[in-house]
Amino acid sequence: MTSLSLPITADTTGRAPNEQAKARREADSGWLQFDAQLGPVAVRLMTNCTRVYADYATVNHDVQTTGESAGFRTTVVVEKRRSWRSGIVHYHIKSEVEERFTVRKRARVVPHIDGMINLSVARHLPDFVQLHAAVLQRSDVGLVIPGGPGFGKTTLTAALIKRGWNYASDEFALIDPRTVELAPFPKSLSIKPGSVELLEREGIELTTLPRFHRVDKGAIRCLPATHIRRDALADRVTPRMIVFPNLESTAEPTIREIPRGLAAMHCLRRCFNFARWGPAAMETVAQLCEQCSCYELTTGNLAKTCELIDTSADEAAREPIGNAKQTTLATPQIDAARNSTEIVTAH
Amino acid sequence: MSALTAPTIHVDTRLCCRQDLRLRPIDDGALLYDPVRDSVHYLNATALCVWQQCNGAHSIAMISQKLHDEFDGIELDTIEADVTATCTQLLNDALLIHEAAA
Repeated sequence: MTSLSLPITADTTGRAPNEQAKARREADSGWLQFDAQLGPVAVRLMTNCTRVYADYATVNHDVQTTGESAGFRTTVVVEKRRSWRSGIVHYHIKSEVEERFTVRKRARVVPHIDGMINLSVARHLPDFVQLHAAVLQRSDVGLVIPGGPGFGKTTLTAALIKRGWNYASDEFALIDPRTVELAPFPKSLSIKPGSVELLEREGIELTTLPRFHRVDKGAIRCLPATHIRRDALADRVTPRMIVFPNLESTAEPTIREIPRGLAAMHCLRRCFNFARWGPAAMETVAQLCEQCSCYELTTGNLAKTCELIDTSADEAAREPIGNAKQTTLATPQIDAARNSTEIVTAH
Repeated sequence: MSALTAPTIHVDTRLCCRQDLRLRPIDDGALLYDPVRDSVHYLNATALCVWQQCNGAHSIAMISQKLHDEFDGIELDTIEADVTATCTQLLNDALLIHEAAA
């Protein structure tokens, strides 16, 4: 991984005139630096735009640090430039994972910063097996909700925080293979327009939050977990329950236990870095599933869905860790062919 | 290998488990890691039982008979058809190989 650095002060010695001018511009415009700590990931934003700085700080102030942190760091640089020819402002965004991306609307900058950070974590963060999942905790029960976009993961996560669950992540389940614990990654939640009304009905105030624009989701609101509950952030989480959501907005919510082997396969399909870990990822995910009760959830009415999860979590809390309830096998049927499933990794 | 090119198997066919696969038992079956294709397969308890019986010494008919002895109430013909289908899929997924190739 290469590290990025931009000159914050002008150093004119030995530089070509155009570089000197560039350095002066940067110094004159005053580069700002924002540091945040998202669990094991130190994030640094450098920008010459006070508004971009303010946008990013607004949704990340609760994870802000003084700037020094050991371990994995990712840096995103946002440079605001005005074209001398047209006068139009552009924002040039770059990081370790993307050389340069240019957007014209400021509303698209923060989502793009988040996207770059996610990509950097998925590609470069060592030490963790990563699943695409939300992670929450209530009492001693760690809850993992694997799922891709459109599964209702974020809406469900916000509603559960409101009901007393603590928030660890909405993007990555970062599994430490040594302990099978989950490290937090408490990035703010990206709330889609379709979820705003649902969440406001749950008592979550969204109107005062800044609005940004994502190409895939449209106008989103970035919702810090601490905006829902001041004390909502979780530390390391011991997983006890895995729930695979399936959004059917008109359906009656249902939850049913599934075999752990099948759950492991569902998790492995959501593994970002299987290619790096190979069989060790399989072992880690198998251990994760063995210490959890695993469910498939059809989500519908949000309040009822949360109640189902709360009830199942109460049951999981009563089971000793590492001795989660055994799934009872149905009468053996020779249905092996239908249940032999496969994951093929992306290289 | 696609189903179109898969070799046909019959009740006398003897198949072998690939020895380079990594087996990870889990409470209701097992996960199998294939280092060649960098893929993971999940077998439920019954599929695992069939896969483990494929050691080159047992034909599909013998495996079916063994399952018939263990599970009451299922016709031998039904079991034989399902074991053949299972073995065909395991062969297609390269989790089994023909005895001659072992």
